[in-house]
Amino acid sequence: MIIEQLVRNSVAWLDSPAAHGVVVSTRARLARNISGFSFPPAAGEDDRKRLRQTLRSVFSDLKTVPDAVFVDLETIEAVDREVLKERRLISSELADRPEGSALVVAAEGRFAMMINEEDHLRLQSMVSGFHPEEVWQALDAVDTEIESRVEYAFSPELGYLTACPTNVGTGLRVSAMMHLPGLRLTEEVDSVVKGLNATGFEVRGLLGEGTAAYGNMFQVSNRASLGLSESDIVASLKRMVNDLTEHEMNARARLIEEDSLRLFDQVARSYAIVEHAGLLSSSEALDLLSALRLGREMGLVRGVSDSLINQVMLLTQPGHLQKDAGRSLESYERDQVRASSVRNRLRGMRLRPGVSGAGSDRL
Amino acid sequence: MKCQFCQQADATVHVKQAVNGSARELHLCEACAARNGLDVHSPLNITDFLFGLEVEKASPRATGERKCGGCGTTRSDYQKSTRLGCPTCYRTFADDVTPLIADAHKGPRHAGKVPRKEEKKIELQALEVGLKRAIETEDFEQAAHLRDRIRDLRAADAGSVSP
Repeated sequence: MIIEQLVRNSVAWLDSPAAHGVVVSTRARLARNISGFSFPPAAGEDDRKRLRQTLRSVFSDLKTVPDAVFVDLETIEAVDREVLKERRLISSELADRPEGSALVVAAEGRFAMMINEEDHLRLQSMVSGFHPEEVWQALDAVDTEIESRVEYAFSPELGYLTACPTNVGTGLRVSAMMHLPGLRLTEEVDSVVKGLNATGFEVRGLLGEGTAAYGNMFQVSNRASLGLSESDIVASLKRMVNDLTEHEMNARARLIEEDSLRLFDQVARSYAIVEHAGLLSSSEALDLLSALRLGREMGLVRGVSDSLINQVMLLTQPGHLQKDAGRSLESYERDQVRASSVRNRLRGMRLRPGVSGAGSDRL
Repeated sequence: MKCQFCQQADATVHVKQAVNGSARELHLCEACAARNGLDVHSPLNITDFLFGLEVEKASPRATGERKCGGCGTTRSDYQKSTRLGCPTCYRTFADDVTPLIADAHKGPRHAGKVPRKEEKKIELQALEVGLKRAIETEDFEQAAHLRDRIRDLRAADAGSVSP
């Protein structure tokens, strides 16, 4: 069944060998509504279903996404919706209100389109690494083809009309998922986040909600979508992300130069905990994996790849653990399963000689 | 970290909320969160539940209940959810929406992609104005030319299906 493939297959935006370094992945989304229908927050279930039916026929033969698969979300299990959410194919809002909603996926999850989320259509495209032009152009092509089949809610003054006025205009949000452990260790991350907020960018934690950045993963995106063009949005995000990447690399260089023992200590401790822990909470696991990812990129940890670490970050989320176990797990049980799962998946991992404190005693 | 309610189980539900300018945190175990009717997916409920707050009241400058003719959304619906119900809402609640747009965006006017159909509409309008003028000035050659272009544009448009 199609949903089994969706929740079991690898995740193109996360698992590819290109998913390494500071920018883990890039995503773009377009918010669109269809003229003549109330926006989803104001629409009844019947209206939502009618709209879904309209879009189902549109998506059945688009040349830009020939392999599109249309999934009505109320027809799948709650745990599968949780897994799709952890894979960032659907949002919490959609997972919590499945009736009349749908997910359309194409190109192995590089396209994920939500029907009847906050807007009728949320087109999304994501890739590994940092490629903002690429994700925007991919979306632009799909959007142009959809636009030839339907009448979008559009005003010449305000552009594409959206349920929330903060998305009006282009309806475009481009975001980069960034791993910033260096800035965290040098205690610069808070001022960086403040600076980004002040200059018109949005910063969020790993799963796109709240501000707690588990695993030092930050999602940064443009805030304004009206009064500037799509290419302006892409260009300004690109400048900002490149600057931020440089900051992160400088922070890492300073860590090696000024206090390599503290850095080695962090990495070696994380290694030791992963090797021996009996219980691991989700947030602790993400923080440990973040330190190991940093260690790998700085040559202190061997035998694993960034894409494997990314994968473990995903597979040890609560929904994935329960999907894997084939039943629901209490949080204590989840912590137990998570600890052994992380250890098993990272079995080939080794510390570079000289990194562990125990090793340096012999020097 | 232990649950702040029962002080026994580990806290796995973490809530951080800005209240009157300061951040407040609460850490609960799953059981206590569920027992207290805490829907962890709804930020509104969390706030109500944790800090005994009522749903935020309408902002002072907005007065008078207004209802959108397009979808029936009321002003208090909008102020509660900050979600509009339909394109007409942008006009109905312009008083509320305009300052929000000014605050969130780079400028007041759309500067991006325009759907081809809209471009066509704009072009048609311009052609029709030209046609009217040509007829008024008895420039029949120009009028015939414009009439043909309008007919061609309309014919091309009839090819697509609307929902």
